[in-house]
Amino acid sequence: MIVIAIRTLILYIVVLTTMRLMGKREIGQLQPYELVITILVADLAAIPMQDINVPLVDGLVPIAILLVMHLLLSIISLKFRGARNLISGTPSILIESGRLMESELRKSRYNISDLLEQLRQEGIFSIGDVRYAIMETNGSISILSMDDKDESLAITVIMDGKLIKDGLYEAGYNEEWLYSTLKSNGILDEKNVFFAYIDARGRLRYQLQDRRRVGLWY
Amino acid sequence: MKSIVTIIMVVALIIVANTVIIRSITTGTEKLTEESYDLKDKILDENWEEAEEDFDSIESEWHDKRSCWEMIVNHAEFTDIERFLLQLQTAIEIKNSDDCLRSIAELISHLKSLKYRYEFTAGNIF
Repeated sequence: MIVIAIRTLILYIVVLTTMRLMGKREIGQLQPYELVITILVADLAAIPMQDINVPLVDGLVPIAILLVMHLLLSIISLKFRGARNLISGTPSILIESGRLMESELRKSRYNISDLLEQLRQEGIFSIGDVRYAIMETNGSISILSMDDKDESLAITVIMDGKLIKDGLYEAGYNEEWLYSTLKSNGILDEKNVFFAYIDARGRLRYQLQDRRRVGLWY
Repeated sequence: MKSIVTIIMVVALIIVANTVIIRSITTGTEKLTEESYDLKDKILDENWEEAEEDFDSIESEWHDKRSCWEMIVNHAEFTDIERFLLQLQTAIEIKNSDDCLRSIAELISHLKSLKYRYEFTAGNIF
């Protein structure tokens, strides 16, 4: 049984790595690790279903292992940002202020025709009308047009109580500013914040952890 | 927390079940192999009465094991082993030692391969 479990584990890692290497285009609407499970579970269930010589356990154990892997990756993704980036990838900015980001397009293996098609489907017929086009980790494209009031993207600075320094610096702020802003709102530790971002107008918006205050935005 | 408990439970269940299954297959096949070698000695001595008794013991042992292993072993394995047992039974009945020895050799070979197939080894993983 451990042999089957290890084989499943190896296949899972191989298929997941392959999907990640294939790029975001092939993924569709699922995260890579979710897609792998979808593909494998269907096949694993089919084999013992069709062949009565194969014991049911041969199908059940790999599915149980996939469930374990899925739960494990979900927990790791939730807790560790670096691991999340490795497992699911990071969003790519394909268009910024009407300018195509050639290197990101190449990295994402996304051709211009497909991007234009996607923009047309969103009712945008000129790249110049796009402030931001971002390819999300599940392969979908989010668009912020020039008509939108917000001139820049909201930048995440705290996620699940953890400070995201890159985001903070990218927004043109530093830890000192963040801590003093939190302190002025009565928050002494960033661990008490579930999620915080700097909006297009440079304001810090945050939500406290559930155990401290439920569902309120400040 | 619920996810972690599920993960621990599934992994623990697999490890425990694997240990029990491997032990059952290893001891079961080793016992049957040992009894087959004893039967082979009786056939070489042309002691057909005791050979028949040994065969009955192997057959009943096999049926006990088969009912335990049905949930984990590929059923095609059972078909092969039962074919050799049937050939062996017929050969003992007609007291044909050549056919008996051939069937015993094939039976032992299948029992050994069954044992190795479920062992936790790098060869089985890759």
